[in-house]
Amino acid sequence: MSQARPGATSQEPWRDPAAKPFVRIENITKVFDSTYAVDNVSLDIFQGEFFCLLGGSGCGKSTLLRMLAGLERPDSGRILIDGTDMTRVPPYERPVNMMFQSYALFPHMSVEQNIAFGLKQERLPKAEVTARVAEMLALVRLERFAKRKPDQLSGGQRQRVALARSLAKHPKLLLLDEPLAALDKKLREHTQFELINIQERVGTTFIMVTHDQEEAMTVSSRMAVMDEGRIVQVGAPASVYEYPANRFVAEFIGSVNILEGRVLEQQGDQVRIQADSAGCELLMDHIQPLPEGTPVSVALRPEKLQVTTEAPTAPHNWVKGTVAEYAYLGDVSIYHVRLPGGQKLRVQLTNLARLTETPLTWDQDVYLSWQPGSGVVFPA
Amino acid sequence: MISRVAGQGLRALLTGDHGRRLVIALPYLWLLVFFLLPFVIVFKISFSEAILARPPYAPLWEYLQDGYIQIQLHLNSYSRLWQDPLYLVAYLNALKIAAVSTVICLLIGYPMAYGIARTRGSLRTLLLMLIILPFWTSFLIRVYAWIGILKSNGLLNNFLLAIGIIDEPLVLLHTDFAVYVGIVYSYLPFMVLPLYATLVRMDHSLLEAAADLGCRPWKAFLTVTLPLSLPGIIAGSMLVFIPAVGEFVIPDLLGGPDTLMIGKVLWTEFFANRDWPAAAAVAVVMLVLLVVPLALFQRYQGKDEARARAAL
Repeated sequence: MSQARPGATSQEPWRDPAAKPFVRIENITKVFDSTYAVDNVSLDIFQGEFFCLLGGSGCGKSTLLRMLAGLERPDSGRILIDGTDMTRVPPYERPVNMMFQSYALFPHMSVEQNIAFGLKQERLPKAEVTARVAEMLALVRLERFAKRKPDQLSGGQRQRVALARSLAKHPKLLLLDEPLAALDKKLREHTQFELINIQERVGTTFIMVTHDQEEAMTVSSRMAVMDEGRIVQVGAPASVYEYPANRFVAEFIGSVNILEGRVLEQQGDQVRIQADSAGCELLMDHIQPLPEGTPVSVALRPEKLQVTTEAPTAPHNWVKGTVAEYAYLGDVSIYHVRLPGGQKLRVQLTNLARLTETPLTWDQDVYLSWQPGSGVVFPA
Repeated sequence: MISRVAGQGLRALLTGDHGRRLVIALPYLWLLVFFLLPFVIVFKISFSEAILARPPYAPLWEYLQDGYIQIQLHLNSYSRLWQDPLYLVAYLNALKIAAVSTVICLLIGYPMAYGIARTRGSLRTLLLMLIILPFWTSFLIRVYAWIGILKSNGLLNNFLLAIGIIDEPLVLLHTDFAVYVGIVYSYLPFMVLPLYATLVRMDHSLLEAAADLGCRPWKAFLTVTLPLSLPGIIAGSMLVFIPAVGEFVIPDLLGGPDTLMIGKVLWTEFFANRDWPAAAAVAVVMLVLLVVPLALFQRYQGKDEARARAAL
């Protein structure tokens, strides 16, 4: 979705080899009951980033986050925060705060007592605690609810109390464990932008765990896609979406059509591929030369396919099919086009004009075409 | 035909509102007949005069010949409770023994309940079974067993003599110490189980959040775990304190002649002295002593909840 956020990406410290990372994760491994929850993960995160750990359930993203908070001990490896080794430091001595998925608000304390809890542990003067609590209440717009107990708040309000509580101590690093998972879709989308706003205002480095790729793409400056305890790809949302490192990432982030084939020949920066099951020939951008005959998968995003009712004249990058399914979603329409070999390709068309009558109907013959740069080739 | 109509009637009676009322009404009827009614009788006896007769108290009212009813209310039994320091001492002693036993049960029971709530799987089931296991043996037999342990040539003294810690047997049985041992032993499960029930429901992430916010484990226990387990502490303490105040068997079997508890006084009045009105008065005062603080507590809690609701 959004990637060109001023402030966050204009600096792009990860592109600068001399930049000092703020959080350094070195070869971290954590084993639970003889399965690797986190398997030799290394990662650098820079000051002021909004970093997302993205992956399905059980991929190790939450375990990694909990190790940053000190709630789990890594079996091997090191964690450095702001240059200090934190691997063996207990959670109550780390300059890090966490927002829990369940929010973990203290039910016997009011909203302001919850927010003040961390400040009181530091034995700050009373006036300062009061001022800081007021500041946090204003930040999350909950001034009117200061005296309420958590069970007298709505889910969205509780979420904001949890955020205020975790930010009250001005941590060097804020960890967020699926912070929006419990909210309904509308509120979640709204809160994503609110999170970005708050992060820009306080300037704290955020590391967020989520399973929702859209959420990760909305909020993050960079994200790491995890699978089976390992990091599969790290990058800005746009580069992960447009240049997935492998088939797993391509299929996990957004939806994708995969065409199987083998290499006919490498032509400079492009590769010619024969896709047997689809019954067509492809010419795709691919810089790394691939030897002839290599089996490959070509990933094509649904929104990058063009639909025409007449056959294109180009010798490659198109295929004929029939409309098998059709769904009108308002802003876009989704078509499933069945190829002669039986495979179905998903096509997404933006409804630019008001739709009164469907331009394509079931069982209609159509031609799908694409550009050499609109797909990615992976050796299978 | 008739039976079918009756069947429908029964079904109508057991479903919906009627069914709910019936389910609630039956136990309440039971309590009314077998608890409230006997108490009213005891209450009535406490205002009678003790006489040598059968039953050993004077009737409260008499029908006179000319259609009048003569009611005689005697307050002697109650005034005697005030005048004779024996009763006051017995009440205070019972309250003291019950209170100290409750605190000891809490101090032993809390770590136990906490430990059980923190274990997982089959070990937890086993530990809970072990808490409940003593109930499979008669309470009386278990108290008698303590006599065997505590008496001067009992298990404990023999053991201490054998390992050479003491030269002559300690006097343990028929002391206040033995009464405390008996009460704490017998009532410990009633403390552990409600504590366990509240602690096991507590969300572990609250302690993680406390640690994350800079709170050391011991302080997190005091500021998070302890306040959240207060309902369990109160329930467990009541379950120990209330029956311990009126305890008769344990002080009678394990306590000495100078272990004065109100349960023993009641027994003496009733069986030895055959002074039913005095025994009834002792029982009524004991009930008031226990019910009034309970009712006050309940009202306080109700107000707290009402305030919480009003804040919405």
